[in-house]
Amino acid sequence: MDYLTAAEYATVTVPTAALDDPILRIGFSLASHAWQHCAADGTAAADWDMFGVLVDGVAADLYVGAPPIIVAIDDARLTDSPEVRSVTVRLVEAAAARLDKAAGDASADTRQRWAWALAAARLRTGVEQLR
Amino acid sequence: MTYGHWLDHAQAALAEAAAAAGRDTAGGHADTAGVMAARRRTYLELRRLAGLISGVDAPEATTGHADLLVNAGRRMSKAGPGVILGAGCWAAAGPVTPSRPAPISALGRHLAEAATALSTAGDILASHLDPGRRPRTPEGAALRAGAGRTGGLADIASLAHAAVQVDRRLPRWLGRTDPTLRTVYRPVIDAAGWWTRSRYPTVLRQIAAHSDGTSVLRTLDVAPAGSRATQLRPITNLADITDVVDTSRAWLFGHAAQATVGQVAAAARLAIAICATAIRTPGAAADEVGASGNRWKAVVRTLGHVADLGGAVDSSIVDRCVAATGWLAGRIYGAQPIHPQWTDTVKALHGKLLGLADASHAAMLHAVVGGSVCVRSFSDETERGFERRGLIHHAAGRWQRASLDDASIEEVLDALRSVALANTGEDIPAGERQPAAVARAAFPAAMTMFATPARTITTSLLNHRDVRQTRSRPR
Repeated sequence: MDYLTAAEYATVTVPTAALDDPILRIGFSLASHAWQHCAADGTAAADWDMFGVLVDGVAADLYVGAPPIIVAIDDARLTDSPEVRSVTVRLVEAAAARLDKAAGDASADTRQRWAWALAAARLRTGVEQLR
Repeated sequence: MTYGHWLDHAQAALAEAAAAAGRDTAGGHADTAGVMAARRRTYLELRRLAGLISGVDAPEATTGHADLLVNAGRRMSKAGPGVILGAGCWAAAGPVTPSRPAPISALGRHLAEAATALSTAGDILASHLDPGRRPRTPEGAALRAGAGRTGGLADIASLAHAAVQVDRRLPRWLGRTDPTLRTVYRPVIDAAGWWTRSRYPTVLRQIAAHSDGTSVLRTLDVAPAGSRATQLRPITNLADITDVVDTSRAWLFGHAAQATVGQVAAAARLAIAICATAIRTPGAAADEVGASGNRWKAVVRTLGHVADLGGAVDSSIVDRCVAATGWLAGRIYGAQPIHPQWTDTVKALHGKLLGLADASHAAMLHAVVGGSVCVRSFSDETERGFERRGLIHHAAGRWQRASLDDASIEEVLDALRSVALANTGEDIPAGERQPAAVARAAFPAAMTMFATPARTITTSLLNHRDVRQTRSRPR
């Protein structure tokens, strides 16, 4: 499957998925794939790098010690285009919204809620780098 | 009592005030002055809360200016909801009233109660920040990073909308009294009239509707008192970032035996953020910095295949690196173009990354030899185990204890060494490294500076690894 189709599918699926549904982690994996495989130079590459470190950092915090996940994506290289950026931004925004929703669950553990809220905020900062 | 408790208290008081405004009429001069003062204080406290949550103080806007903001805010793009909210509350507060006697009537008492509850709520938020609004607790740091912002502003918008309901009844409440009072408070009634008839009530409902469940800010209580020494040190400038890089490097060198994959990964992400910032710096050698960023990117990619065997370890190094990365992204990188006064500092920061890579390499070696690292295992079982999640195929891998022979570990160490050796001018392809000679050429300063037992072990491990690599891959 190509990156754009997978990312668009994940974007529409993430908002209603359970937190332990692999699709959320797949979403992070797809965003990291875009960062690592998008061919860009100079300041465009810097934008992707700043985006990537924030998203990758959030995923690392959320899935500490979780077994590795392998997502089958065909595109070995991506071109830095407005479409790729837009799809990636929407995917990460969907993940941030899902985490915000989790943070709004008053029955969840308070410390965990703060972690989700902070993760959502960091994802939004990451998204700003690609706009 | 939590922040959420005081918001609920204020909401209830405002509902009571709206009921009283619809039911009662204004009393004498003193009572009306008390009501007007309590009303103004309520709006100013709402504005303060919006500023604390959004991190931006709204301008002291006139009604015209607030109208411009709220109408431009149809797209919610230029001014954020925090600014729109704060500016509206300032404009709605109206002019300073002549005196502030204690309110007597039910309306005045409920408004004063709401203002006091909002003030207490604001004090709870403010207790997590220092006077310069820099974080002094982990929750304060999360607040500054934007955690709970949407839900928090939704709460404030909901309270402001409750205040609108009071203001809708205010002209009638004042209209039945002494005409002199109506003249005295005409500017306040005008502000209330603008506030209730403008686009604000609609926008307030929109902002309030953005809430997704219960805002996490509601769980906050007053921050515990702490000495300056135990308080969280906020990242406020580039010197703090330099400090984080120096500390991380020193810690990874000095405590290599306790280092974790998580710490190395956090340091690598910070290094990428520094490279990205350096590219945007005026006069930067973009090619050189870009290449450096790519090498660090390879480090992060390879680190994705390894993990700490024992799971997460609470580490101030990780926390500081994460905070520094977020600060660079939010404060420096976003400020385009990067201010010339930061040029030298950013260049110096970039220069320090070589040492960080060196220390990270030593730390990773220690962690692997110490048996605290696991690697991703690719087996036939995994390859066959691809599952479908809707349209997407994915597989869960397995972790296994790492050894120096694992390909994933070799990749991580090669990637780190590639960064550490970058400025020696030698571009050595992976798998073709000279053994001890290159190691000694690359780390001479470190080998003499860190001639502690920990460093000696590191160096011997490095040589040991290189010798074995040479044996297995003869050049």
